Amino acid sequence: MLSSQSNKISAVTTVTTKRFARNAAKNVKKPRFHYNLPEKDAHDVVTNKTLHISQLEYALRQFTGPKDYRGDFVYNKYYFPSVNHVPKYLHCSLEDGKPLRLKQTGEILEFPRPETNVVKPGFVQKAGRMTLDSVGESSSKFMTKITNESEIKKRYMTESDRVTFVPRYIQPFPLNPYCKTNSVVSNELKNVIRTAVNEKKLPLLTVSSKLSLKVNRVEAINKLGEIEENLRKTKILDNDMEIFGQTMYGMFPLYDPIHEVQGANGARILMNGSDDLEELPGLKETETSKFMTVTEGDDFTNLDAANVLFLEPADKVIELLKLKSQQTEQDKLAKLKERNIVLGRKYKTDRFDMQFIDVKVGETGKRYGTGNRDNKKNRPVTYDINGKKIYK
Amino acid sequence: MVARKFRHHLSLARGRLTTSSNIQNIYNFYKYYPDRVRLNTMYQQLFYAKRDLRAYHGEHITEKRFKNEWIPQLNSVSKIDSENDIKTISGLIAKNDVKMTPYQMQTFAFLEKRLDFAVFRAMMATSIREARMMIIASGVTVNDKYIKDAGYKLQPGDIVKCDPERVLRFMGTEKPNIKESLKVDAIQVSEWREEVAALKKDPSGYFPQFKFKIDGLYEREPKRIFIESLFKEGFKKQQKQQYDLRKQNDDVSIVAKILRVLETDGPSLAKFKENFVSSDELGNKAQALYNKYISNIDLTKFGVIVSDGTIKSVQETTPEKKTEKIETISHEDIIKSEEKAHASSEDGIVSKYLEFSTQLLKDSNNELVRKLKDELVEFKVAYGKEIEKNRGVDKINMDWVDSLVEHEVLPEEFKEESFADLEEADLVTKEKELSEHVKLPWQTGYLYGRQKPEATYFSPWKPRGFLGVFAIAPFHLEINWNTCQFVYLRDPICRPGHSEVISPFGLDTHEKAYLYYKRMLKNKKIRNQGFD
Repeated sequence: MLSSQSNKISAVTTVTTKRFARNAAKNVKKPRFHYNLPEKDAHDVVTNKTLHISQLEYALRQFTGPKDYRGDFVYNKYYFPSVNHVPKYLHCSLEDGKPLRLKQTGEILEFPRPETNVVKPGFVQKAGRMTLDSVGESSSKFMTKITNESEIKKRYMTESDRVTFVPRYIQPFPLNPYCKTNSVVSNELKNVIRTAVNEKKLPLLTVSSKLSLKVNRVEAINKLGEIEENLRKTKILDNDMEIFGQTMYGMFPLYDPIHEVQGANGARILMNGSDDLEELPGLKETETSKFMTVTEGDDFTNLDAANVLFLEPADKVIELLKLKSQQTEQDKLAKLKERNIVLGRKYKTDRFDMQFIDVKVGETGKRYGTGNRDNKKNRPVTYDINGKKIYK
Repeated sequence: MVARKFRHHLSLARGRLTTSSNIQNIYNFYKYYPDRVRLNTMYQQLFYAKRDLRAYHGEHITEKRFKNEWIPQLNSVSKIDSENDIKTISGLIAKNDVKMTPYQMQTFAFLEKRLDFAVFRAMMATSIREARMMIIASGVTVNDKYIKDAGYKLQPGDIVKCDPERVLRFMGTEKPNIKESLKVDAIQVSEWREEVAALKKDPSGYFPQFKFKIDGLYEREPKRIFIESLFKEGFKKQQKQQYDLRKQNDDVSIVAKILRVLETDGPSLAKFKENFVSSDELGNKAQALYNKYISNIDLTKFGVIVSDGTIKSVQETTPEKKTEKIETISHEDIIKSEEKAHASSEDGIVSKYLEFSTQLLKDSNNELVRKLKDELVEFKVAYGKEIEKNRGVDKINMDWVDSLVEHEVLPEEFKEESFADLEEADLVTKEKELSEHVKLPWQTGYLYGRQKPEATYFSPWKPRGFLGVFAIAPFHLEINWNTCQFVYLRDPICRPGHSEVISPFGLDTHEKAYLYYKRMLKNKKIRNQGFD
């Protein structure tokens, strides 16, 4: 009996270890698209040595392509940032894991054997392999061979997500349709804002409502522009910083309702950089459900709901918010100064200006040892009309 | 607070997605697909979702600290659409356009207030760890005060200024050693010598090949910028011509061209050829179109008179004597004279014939016109091909080749055999001497990438590889890259169909991670409040 039991136990242990190993092999995140594996006696041409490389590293080299003498992966289409205000985001599913291109013609290339350092013309046969990606149509179009970038680019530029209708080329991650890039306010529009605020002395609210940018954004643009101007006068900005600024500017779509802008700012993303001025901050009261009885004949409108929740109607709140956003920092400072007055009784003595006076604990200050929940994170919180957080 | 150890995050086998510009991480993003979790237990699903998300959101923060700071608060903004409100009140179904609000995408929104996250989101560093490094080494100010705490909470309206030198170092390619740049320069100079020799020998013959080579370079490469500036004007002119021709490739303007030829010179083959990119094929086709269809249509209806090939007698219009006094010239006269001037100009003539042809093609009852339209489809394809074929680069003015100077042969010190045994420190003293030998027109007097030998970054600045892949302009910041500064406008929120928190993962993984942290909370009061 004993011997058989011990046998069983040993068998169980071996099984578990085996299963563990098998699962570990399964959990390796291999690419879904086709890639070559290294051969047994592969010999690198560049280093003149035998290859000691893992399968995935070998796949990675097929992704990057060969290096230039400058150290650049010149054939990879994602390597250099774009200069025409159309973002370059990874779209593996459209091209079936083949990112190498000849830049001049857009011809699709392959790097099947990285050790030989030779690039060959290739093709994309089918891009429907990754169906988990919610972007895009069925793969029926892609049943034929594609040897040029233009077809892939067309799909990249025209398609949009099924759920949120975000165009593909401003959606950085294919699995998250709720994330998209902002458009950058163009340099011309920034100049317009600066002249309107500083020279024409227009109020911030009119500028913001005309360009549909929020007041704090307009204020920030003005401020940053002012700092930049000062730096330019003192010649602190040098050539390298200028190149950096230009390349960053060239990577993003532009927002400009006045001028004609470069890049693919079609009708679909024309409003991308603009702020919605009539947005209402979500209130805590509206998140949970509330039950109440209403007689059968009565209407129950949104105004009634506002009354129940002790809230102001949305139109009034938005107007209030707008008025508040119009306040400049100087106004706020002035208000603070008004508040800064301290009222108190002055005790006169013969010798000193200041004197300690006994007071009862509890009337002023806090008694030592009483509970104080000021610094606790679960302090009870409410919100005022403007959606601002207030501690109870 | 000390950061967590950076382990396994760049592993290709694990395939975690983090904030890093490393090639391995980029490849992980490229090949990423979500795990199949359907058969797992509920807890496993929650844990896997949390594990994946935490690799991207604050991977350097320890789990305990993260849990203590986490809040179950999901900030949102609702849109007021008056039309929709009215429809819902009257009992109709609301528009389909109203999208779902992704509340749970706010699970990690509290991290975005942190200074290191904001610096990373503003693209002043390529990873959060780099941003952290910059902050700790006192490279960042908030409202003109140095802040060394990476976890500093920003408030709306804060101005953040970053140290430009560090930003250029992080966002640019790595500065090469002297040895590396010597290697590059040796190849660069020999290549340039060959190119100049070939250009001087046979300028127009070698140019297409040369142009092809240049087109393969990055648009902001100094060499490309220099060479394109040489033949910019001639090339622009040619491109404009090409663009105009492409624009004119439609039914109306093709017929207008034919009509114009008919009225001025009659149906002659040579003239047809001249008007259509001087190709024989198109000339023959145009004449065939005329013989088949247009000759049978009554053109006088549209005011076109076909000349019979003989030289047209030029009507000598007697010049109007300017006897009229200035007082008698009215406003109408001025308009009339302007119209006349317009009609006699090139634009006026073109627009006149365009009108004729539109009228002609409108007449869809005529069978001939319908057939003409069908034939024109084929004609347009051929015309388009000819236009593309016609863009010969050999027509560009090549005078600029004379201005190029042949580069001297580099001394032996640039050969790899001579500097291979030397140490980097020995070469530093030699750098000034060596750099005088480099006299490339786009790089004179310095080695490759070392215009400023003291600076820590690649100069003239060049972007890091794969920089555009993670270039996402945030909604809650206003950035000025020229000065490396930005303003923190507000905390990121979510609205219908959009979340301002940047994340590579979808809504379902966020939901699971939210549930995981919610059940981990020890305090029951907080656990029960907020969004469920």
